[in-house]
Amino acid sequence: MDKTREKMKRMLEEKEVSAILALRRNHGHPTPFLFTKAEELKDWVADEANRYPLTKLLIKIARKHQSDVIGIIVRGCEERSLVELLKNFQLRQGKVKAIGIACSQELANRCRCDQPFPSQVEEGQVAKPATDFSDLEEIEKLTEEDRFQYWMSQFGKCIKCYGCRNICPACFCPTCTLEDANLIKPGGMPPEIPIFHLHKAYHMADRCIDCGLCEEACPMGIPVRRLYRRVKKSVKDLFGYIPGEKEDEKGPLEFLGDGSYELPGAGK
Amino acid sequence: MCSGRISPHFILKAFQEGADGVLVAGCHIGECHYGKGNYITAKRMVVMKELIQFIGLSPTRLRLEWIATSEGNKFAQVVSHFTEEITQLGPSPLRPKRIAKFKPGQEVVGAIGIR
Repeated sequence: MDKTREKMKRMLEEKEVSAILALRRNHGHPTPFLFTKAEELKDWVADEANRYPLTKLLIKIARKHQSDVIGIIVRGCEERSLVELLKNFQLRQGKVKAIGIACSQELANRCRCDQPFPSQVEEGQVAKPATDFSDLEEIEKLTEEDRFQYWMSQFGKCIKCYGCRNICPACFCPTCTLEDANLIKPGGMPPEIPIFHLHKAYHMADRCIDCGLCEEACPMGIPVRRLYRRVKKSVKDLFGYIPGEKEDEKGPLEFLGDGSYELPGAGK
Repeated sequence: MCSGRISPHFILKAFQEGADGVLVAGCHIGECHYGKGNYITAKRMVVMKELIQFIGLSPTRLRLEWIATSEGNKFAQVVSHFTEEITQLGPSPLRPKRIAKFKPGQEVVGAIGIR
């Protein structure tokens, strides 16, 4: 990672960026840190065991320092999230500079990532994409009743901590559907199921960048990522759209369209 | 009301309240009063169908139908046909009474000893 460190150093010294958001080793733990001086970079780590939604932090930082260009270390998933956030005007074009790092093959396999590398990588080997949908197939094999039973017992564990939403690097709305009293009754534990999880799942259909942080964050171990992966797959199969891929392409569920999506089977 | 106004959240809410089936009817494609409101309805419905199928609700319970204001007969046919289908399927597993069967987190909480 020395080459990346050199590059970060150069960027800070040449004032190409005013700060770089990355992880820092702090008493043995990687924590997010805004590097502003070149000499601080000796503590920088690219930790693989602990991923962190840095892009989500960047939204708050960028809002406060609107005239500054801020650098950020991105993996494949984080770059996709940057694209989504730029597309949805949460960050400003040209005010963010991404520095790509590649994931190891081990991490890519663990995440079942289909694009474990950003568009530009400074050093190292890029890992092969893992195209593993066994988690979805496992559920789809079940009968309808079993599937329902499976999901209801999973959703029933929910303690409504909103962890999956708060950590999601593609979620940014100031007013959230999940807190709307008319749609989901406030109070009560667990929340109204399955509506609570389905609302989020539908929202993720053309937004999910498949980073898997939601599932890692869930204190009750609900496999929410499977739900989002499934809707993401539907959108990909039906409309050929992959979230976070191209900056100039809008999600198919975000605009009315020209009718070319009018699908066979609808209205029959 | 334009069928493009039917947010997926309304459909989910209906299922949560115990609806056995949800029928969404709109103007034919190309005949939208507002130009292209029904384009997005078509897109939303396919994704919704796949989603509810994945969690174990029958996708037959959700239906999209294009019915123009002048097609009174078609409306009657569609509704009676849909009702028949739903009757065959039986009540929704999300009916408030039936939902009690799935005690939230019961097995799991018991197994890991919380509470």
